[in-house]
Amino acid sequence: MTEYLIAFNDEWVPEHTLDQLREKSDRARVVIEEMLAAGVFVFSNGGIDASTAVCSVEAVDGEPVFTDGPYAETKEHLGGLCVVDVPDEAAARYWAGRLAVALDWPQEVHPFPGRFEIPERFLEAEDEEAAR
Amino acid sequence: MTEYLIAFNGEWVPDYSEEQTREISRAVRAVRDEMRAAGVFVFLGGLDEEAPVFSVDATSGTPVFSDGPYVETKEHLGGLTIVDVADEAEARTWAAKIAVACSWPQEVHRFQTPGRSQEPAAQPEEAAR
Repeated sequence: MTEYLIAFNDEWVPEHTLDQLREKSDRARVVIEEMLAAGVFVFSNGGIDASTAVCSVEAVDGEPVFTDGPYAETKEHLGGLCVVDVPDEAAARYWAGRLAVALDWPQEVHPFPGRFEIPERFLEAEDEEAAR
Repeated sequence: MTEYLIAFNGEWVPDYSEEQTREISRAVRAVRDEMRAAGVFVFLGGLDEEAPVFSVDATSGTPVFSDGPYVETKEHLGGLTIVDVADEAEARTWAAKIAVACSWPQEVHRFQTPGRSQEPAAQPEEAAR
């Protein structure tokens, strides 16, 4: 199984009335229920935008240093995300398509894991070797 | 409880040797285990900027897939951690631990709505123990 990120930027979401947003939310909830039933659902939340950055934190000489607001000013901002754990890319495409239809704004799909993660089995093999 | 996103852009990450990457991975794994033990862990994952990305747009009524990002941007999401914590102070504590473990900056967002999550009750390797 591979985890995929299905995400959208806040800038891709058109203006909505509160009723329209509620309807989209209900439609997305139906897709999420289906993901849960299919055993592929990990996480979803669509409640972020440019205004939700609380703070940034950077380690300076090993100590965390906080600043208010975003770390960098960017033109686009993450608006929401859903993580699914699926057998292949075809399944990731299927669920991304379902969300794109339910929400009616575009979605971008990325596979996890990335370059900063060493697969657990390698780390465990290393740990075992170190323990010998 | 409130969900917080602790995320970084790929552009904030310096170049590292394989050995350094391995060390960072271990440090991050230790923080993740600490989050699990504290009952605040929801998700943690890093993205690979070389990995294939695709987009899907259904504004026409049917999903239309295209290879690559939906829009070209200067910065790209590099990885993210989601925690479900009691307050902002707690979110800051975990963000600091991630920032120290990774040694590159992290940005913290408070989700304005409650989300859904399915953190597995037990990892297969833990269940096997």
